[in-house]
Amino acid sequence: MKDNVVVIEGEVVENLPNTLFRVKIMSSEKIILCYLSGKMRKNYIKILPGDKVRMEVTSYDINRGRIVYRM
Amino acid sequence: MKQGGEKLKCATTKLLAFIKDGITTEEIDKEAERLIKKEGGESSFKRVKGYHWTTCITINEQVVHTPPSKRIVKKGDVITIDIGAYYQGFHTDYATTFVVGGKTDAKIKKFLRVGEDALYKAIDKARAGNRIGDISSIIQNEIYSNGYFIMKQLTGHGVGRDLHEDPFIPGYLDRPVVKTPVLKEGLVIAIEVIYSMGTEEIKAEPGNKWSIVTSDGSLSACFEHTIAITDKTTVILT
Repeated sequence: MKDNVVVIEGEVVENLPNTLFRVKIMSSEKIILCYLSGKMRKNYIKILPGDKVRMEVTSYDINRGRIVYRM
Repeated sequence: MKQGGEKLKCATTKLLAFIKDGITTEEIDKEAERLIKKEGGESSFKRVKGYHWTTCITINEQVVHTPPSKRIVKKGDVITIDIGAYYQGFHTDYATTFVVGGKTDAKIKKFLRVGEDALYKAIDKARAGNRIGDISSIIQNEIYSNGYFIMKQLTGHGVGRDLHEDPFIPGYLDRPVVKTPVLKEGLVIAIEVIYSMGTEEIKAEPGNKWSIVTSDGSLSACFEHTIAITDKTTVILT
């Protein structure tokens, strides 16, 4: 893990084309746009609405994230 | 500085009790000055060039540096008091945010709690041998993971013979932790957690030389403590 990212947990609300997802942050009402990390895509990990996921967000744009784990 | 901090703490405690529904921020400022003088200190902010007030009092969407005015404090306002004392040649700096009247909805309560927690967790990390990045990353984690925004252009700072000194303590990481400066014993810093509900962008308030507001008018808050890093522990001075 890079050290200037923030790890957040959330719940997927919508699947979009091109392995993009809208994810609601667990501890707030905010919804951010996330893509699936390359490692998860390589291993064909399927993500469906309702799944709890862990994502990484950087301070450059906190309205986007990268999904790194499905719980 | 420890004595100065204690005096500031006494004055602030009394000041917070004084604030109530219906008074103007100017009156709060006058009371603040009286209380600090009574404790034997001097206003710190008045020593900043061009600033003629003892406190910065920001309400709701105002972020920082708002001079006292005729604005009336209303019940339910989210108010931040930023205050500093100058005692025997050294400055101390402190800020807190709370709701006037005490009653509010759960959303605002949580908003304020997150900031306060972040500050205390950050102070916990401020030990000799750690880096400034450790402080920044914990503030960043706490604020972002709750869906709030950090004001990137406003940072904490060193305190001493001047109110604002090096090093800067940003509330977010702009480089890897190992590339940030190491905290040494004897260093005195003011850690500031400045964040808002809806945006990280700030703008100058129209018609005011000092005041800064959030660009979308969302709520913002600020929590600050002056701390001294000693060889064994970290002391909160204010």
